[in-house]
Amino acid sequence: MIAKEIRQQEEARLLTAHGTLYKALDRMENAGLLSSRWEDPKIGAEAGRPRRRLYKVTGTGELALARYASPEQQVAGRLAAKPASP
Amino acid sequence: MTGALGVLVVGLVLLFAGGLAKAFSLPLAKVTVRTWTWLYTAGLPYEVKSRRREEVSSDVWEHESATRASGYSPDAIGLQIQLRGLLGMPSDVEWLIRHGPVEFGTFAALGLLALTGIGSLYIATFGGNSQETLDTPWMIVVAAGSLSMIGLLLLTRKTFAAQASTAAPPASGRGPDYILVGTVFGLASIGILAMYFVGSPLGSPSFADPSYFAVRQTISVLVGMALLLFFTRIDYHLLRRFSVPLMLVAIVALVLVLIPRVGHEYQEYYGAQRWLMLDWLPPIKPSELAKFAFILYLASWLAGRRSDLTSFAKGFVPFLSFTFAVALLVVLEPDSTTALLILAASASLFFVAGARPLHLVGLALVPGAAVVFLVASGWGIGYETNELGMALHEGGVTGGGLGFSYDEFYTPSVLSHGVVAVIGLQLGFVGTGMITLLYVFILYRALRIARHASDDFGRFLAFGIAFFIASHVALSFAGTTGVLPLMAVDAPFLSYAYGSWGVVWLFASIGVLLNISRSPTGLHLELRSAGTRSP
Repeated sequence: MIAKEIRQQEEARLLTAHGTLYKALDRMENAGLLSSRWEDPKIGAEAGRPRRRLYKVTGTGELALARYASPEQQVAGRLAAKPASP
Repeated sequence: MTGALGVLVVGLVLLFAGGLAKAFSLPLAKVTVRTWTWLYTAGLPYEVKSRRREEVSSDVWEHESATRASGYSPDAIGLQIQLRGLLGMPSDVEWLIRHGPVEFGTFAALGLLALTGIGSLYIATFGGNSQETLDTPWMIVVAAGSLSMIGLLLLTRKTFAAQASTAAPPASGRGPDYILVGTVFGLASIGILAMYFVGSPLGSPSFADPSYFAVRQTISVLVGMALLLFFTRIDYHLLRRFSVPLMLVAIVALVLVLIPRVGHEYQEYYGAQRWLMLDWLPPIKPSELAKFAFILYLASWLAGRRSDLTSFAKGFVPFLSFTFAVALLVVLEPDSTTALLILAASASLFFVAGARPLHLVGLALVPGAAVVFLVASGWGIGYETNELGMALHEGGVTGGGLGFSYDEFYTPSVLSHGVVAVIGLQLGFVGTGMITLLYVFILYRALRIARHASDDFGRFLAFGIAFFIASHVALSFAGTTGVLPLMAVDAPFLSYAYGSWGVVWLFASIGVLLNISRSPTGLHLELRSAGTRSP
């Protein structure tokens, strides 16, 4: 779903390649900007899909985001608003 | 392993390209993305690996369901998924290098090393004999070889620093590295075979028995194997207690050999006093003993003062004075090759143990100066190098077959330091290439043992042995192919070694490696605590 959101942003399109996306998420998580956990497998099983990895923007992440007022902010802002899955 | 990985990667890229050209089918896209993810995560720890795999498979599922809902055709979705996988590949590889195990970098460096060895054999075999026209390829070979060695040193240093004096939890029931024994035995068998089939040309005119060399080589290998078994069973911490006495004996022997009438010239090495003759032993070459004693002593010394290594007064100065003293005694024999080997091995060991890089820049000048000195003192390409190059050339791709020879090529000295050329003549580029891979594999196993050792002494000793064997192989190959002037360095495990002490320390040190690769026992632990008090 993160991928879907980013795809809709013209300038950020390159980010949606699997390698690029997960490398970026990995880095942001290591930097403490994001936190993530697995969705309860039951939810996925009931919906008949693989379980999702849920990412959440941390307090540090929101602070970092506030410093950068740019188009990317819109994407990240929307991500921050709700728990999202890739 | 690296080769197989390379083939798989190329195969997958082709599959991607094929998928793009052929209707971008959705199932194919899903399979390729999944296979690729499976492949590049294969060597990683379970948690990292399973997380990335699940995440990507969830991503692909979500992508498909979201795009289907928006009314895309399966082919269009297939193309999108295919492209997302393909465009992300460089990032995947970068991520893998950063987070992957040290093994990944080690594989890359060892792969480069193997390519260097095979490349130099290729040039020597197919490049003709005129040395002048080959300067550029040779420079590339030397550069690639140095690059891979530097890579290995950096990786090992990084690993050792991370492990700094932490005793790894003893893995229970870990046996000695049987794969390493098998590889060493395989190489030794190839050497014996080559010598057996040399039998007729060399054996008959000068020696009555056609299997003269093969029989003697078999005896040497058996003696070596016995030593190997012995040292596999001796706890390597016990060796630490002998490191100082052994080094003293080696120094005394090095001094004795310089005294006229005590030190002897031997065989073809006119003018050099390298041997001590005792009636009841094969002639002793003190510099051979010094090699092993020095690695043992240095590993013990470095492990004992790891925290002082970055200090100029407590680390660098003692290291430098001691190394120089030993190297100088060896140079006086004169045996510049062994001195060069000792300097290179000790500097590398000092570096991976955690010396300050700035100090080592100064130290790097030493082998550099030694090479300039050696070249200046008329260390040129002689008759024999061309002989060996011609043998490789004559062997071609598959060689003349076992037993193939031309007149008067084989001499005992060719069987010792020219044995790779002998194999090239009989089995060709295919044979020598295989030998190269076996050597690189031995280095890989030895470095692996060093990484998995349970304490600093084990790490340093294993690395010292690994690097020492590797430098012998490198100088032997360089001499045979003509990359560097011939230095009469034997090819470990392969060369004719009857009556040579080289066999003793070589097989014994593999035995020590095997002991380090075993899991520690109660006795090990007891000795280890005792060992930390001795220097």
